[in-house]
Amino acid sequence: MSNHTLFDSKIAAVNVGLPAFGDAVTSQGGQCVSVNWKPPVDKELAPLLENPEINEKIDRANRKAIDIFLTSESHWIGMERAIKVVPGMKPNYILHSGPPITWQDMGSLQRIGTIGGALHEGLAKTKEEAIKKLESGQIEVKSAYDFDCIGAGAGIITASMIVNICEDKKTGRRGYCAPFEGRDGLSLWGLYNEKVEKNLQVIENVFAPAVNKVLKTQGSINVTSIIARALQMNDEIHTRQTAASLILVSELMPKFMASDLDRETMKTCVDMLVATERWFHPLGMASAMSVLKSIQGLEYCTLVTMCCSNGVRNGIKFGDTGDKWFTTEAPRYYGQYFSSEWGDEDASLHMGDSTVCEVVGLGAFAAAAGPAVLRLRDGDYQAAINQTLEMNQISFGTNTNYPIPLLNFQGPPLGIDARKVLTTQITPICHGGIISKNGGQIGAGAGRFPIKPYVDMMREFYRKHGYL
Amino acid sequence: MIKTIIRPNTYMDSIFLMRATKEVKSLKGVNQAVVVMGTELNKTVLEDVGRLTKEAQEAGPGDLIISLEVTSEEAAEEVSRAIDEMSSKKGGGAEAVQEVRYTTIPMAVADHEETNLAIISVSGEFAAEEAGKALDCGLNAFIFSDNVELEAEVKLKELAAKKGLFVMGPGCGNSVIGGVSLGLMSVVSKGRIGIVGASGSGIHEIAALITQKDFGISQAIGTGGRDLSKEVGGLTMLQGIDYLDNDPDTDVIVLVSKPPYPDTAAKIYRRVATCKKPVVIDLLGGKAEEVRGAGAYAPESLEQAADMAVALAKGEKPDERPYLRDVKEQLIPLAREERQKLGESQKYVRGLFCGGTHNEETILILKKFVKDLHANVSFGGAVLLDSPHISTGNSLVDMGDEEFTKGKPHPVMDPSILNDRLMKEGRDPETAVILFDMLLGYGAHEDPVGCIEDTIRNIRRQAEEENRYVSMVAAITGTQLDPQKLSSQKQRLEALGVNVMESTAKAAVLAGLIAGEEKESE
Repeated sequence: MSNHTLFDSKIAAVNVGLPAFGDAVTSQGGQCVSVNWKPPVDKELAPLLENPEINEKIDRANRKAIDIFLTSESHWIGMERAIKVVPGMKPNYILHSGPPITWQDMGSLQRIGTIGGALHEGLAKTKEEAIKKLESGQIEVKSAYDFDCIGAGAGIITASMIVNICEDKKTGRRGYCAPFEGRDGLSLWGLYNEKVEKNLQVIENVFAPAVNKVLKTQGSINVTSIIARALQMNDEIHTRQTAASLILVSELMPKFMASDLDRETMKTCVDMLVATERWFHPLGMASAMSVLKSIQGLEYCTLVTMCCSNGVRNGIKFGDTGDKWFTTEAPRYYGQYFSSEWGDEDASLHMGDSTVCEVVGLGAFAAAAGPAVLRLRDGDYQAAINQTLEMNQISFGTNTNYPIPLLNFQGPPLGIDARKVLTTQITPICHGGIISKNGGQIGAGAGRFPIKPYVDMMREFYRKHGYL
Repeated sequence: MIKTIIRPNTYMDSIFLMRATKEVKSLKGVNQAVVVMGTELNKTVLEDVGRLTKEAQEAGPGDLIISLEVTSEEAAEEVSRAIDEMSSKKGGGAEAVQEVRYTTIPMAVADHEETNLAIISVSGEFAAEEAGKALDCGLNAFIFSDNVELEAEVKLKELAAKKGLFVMGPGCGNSVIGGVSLGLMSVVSKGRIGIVGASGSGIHEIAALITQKDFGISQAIGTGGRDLSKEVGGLTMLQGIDYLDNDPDTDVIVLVSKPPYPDTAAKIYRRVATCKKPVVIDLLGGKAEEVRGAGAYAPESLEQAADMAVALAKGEKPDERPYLRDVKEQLIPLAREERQKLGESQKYVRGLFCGGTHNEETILILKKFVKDLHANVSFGGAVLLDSPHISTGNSLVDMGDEEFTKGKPHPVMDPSILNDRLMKEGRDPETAVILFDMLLGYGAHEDPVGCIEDTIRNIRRQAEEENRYVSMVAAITGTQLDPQKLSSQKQRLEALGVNVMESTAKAAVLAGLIAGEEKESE
């Protein structure tokens, strides 16, 4: 950066501290930008964050990670039972969203969902039996993300449940996510009853085999490309996927028509696809996973590779620290409820892996693409732009593949850099559904995530690399 | 009662409807509300809350369902009206202003490439770090913050000098750059006198007096109080002299500082000796013969420094007559008048200062008039007060000292910190003169006199009740260009019977004449 002589040009100041000093400059006709300064969150880390030697290595790794994002092309390639495709999956495993948690520590909703999963899977005949087997460890609960799965909401996935498969064509790496069952599902919302079971049976026995066959015979669907188009059509791809789901249906229809599926099967599939605007959501998430796998374990990379919660703890993973989770208490979401009967006291603390959207620069980070979502928090379109610009301050790169009209066709921020979270003390905002403690979605909004895991991660990072 | 209103073929987006749900709930007579499109998904919500009525069941995905639990039909109608109103409301979106909140200097600079200066006033332990970032971004730094480690100051200034940048401070209160006053500085006229100063209130007073005399400042560069120490070695002052000596818009250079470390002083004198332009150096009690040895003018006070600079700017030779003797003669009649109103027991001057240099200059002058002079700073031979909170004999207190400002704003920014102490001195039967200063400018309090007016009235009232008169003397540092306006602040103090002087030195001499022994000479 060039040095500015003090006297040759008009004063253009940046004010750090007392606002009166900045105001004085503008009152006298000078220019002044103010910095919303806060004391460093960790005094020992502050100088390290400015260390040019390590920063160069980090920048190089992070650039590589951004390049992986930008050159990725994730496709929806099929739907299969989890046991068949999810690496490491076992018949007695029940996956859940968020960082690992024991059965004993789980929140009420995930417990309900886990029991529902055990019943659905036939691992137990009664609720009591399921609890006994969970307590004894005959049935084991596992974090979905550790199995390359995105567990949206409660994130319940059992061995025979269906997952969507997305594959990054560039690397062949895959990510998985259960399909959207509707507002009453087991996987997302932890609900389990006769109606849910019936619906799951249709998905497992009719819908998934049919779609799988269509994708295999008629070709996969480019999810990355749908996201790019939908971002120009008012979707931010987390809370709102209206456009993406419509594009998906329009891409799927010719494939259905070209297939040899019988008319009744086709009708079941089409009804299911058009019944909800959110059908695209799991594909967006599975595609994110398929790319993030290439960044996990990337040495010196300080970008977040996952941020999710289980209703009790929030867990973050980073490139350099690979599989390790950094956890803290899960945040609370704020927003609007579907009915005035429901309020904050009914809501679970943040739960779900759908925040993977923000990890890949969508959702809250792409708010400017979907300003309608900001209205959940009484925001206008300017608030949406401002939110994206704020998240830009903690992001390492920009997703140039996704031009957004309201950002003057610049892309949304991409790659949450732990260093920037610490230096700015801005923590990520994520969009998402508000889930009842007792199961089911009761609203939608956003949450501001805590800074602690970033401090813990960077401390470990600098220790690992011999700087602390 | 449960009420279901269906509006066929009325599409509203789900996010608008969630807001509507919340807003209609607040209407009178509405217990519960769900406003949704009639999709199968949404009907499950109504089922959950037990209001999936027959009408709702029959509604299609293009129909709006307003499902209510209300106390009356009227309430339901009110909801219907409210939803119409909300949906027809026009947004003011286009007028919304884009606003980014930067949290670090590099981020602000990245978006504002023209930035050339960082003004830093965060707590001292973090100021060096921020200044370092500013220098890395190619910015000059004005560091108001105190308590920065000396070692850090040296490092910053060495780096800045290498980059051709200026680090003003740490502990820099006043500068004027390109006509813009920084920190606590008064608004001054633009002109051809350049100042470099290690003393904030020194720069402030000299520049304000020059403005009052209808001359002006080209640049006033504050260096911070430790610039002329052994360790820093005058790095910023030397840079400042170099700049002003080569600046086509500067004709006269004024330097102001507390007495420097001898080696550093020698460095400054060597540089001054080669200056192409006339130089005035006020070293606050430093050795005048050394100053003259460097070919510079040695004033006896800040005011005389301003006078000399103005004379030189006019192209005249400055008046080198003994300044203090003149001032004294001028003030004797007024002092005599004030003395006559004092009682037997009233013997001492009690001074409270917002400006640190004002306190120091007053020590230097007052010691010529009174014995038994105490202060809360070790300077000029004054005896250090046992406690800065308790005056003994003649006492001068720098209210900007850390002892008073811990966790509070500097007295220039909030002079009400003076009130308790003013009252205490006013009640003391031994107090003859209360001496204080007020400073104006954008960074200063918007109405400094207003902060202490009531206290002055109370002192007067109480003294009257006890048949005493307390003499009050004040100096105001400021200009007519300041938002507080010098003349109006002055008038208000005068209306309270305060003798207002235009300079610290004059105020000190007047106080000395009132409380000191009349026959004492300099």
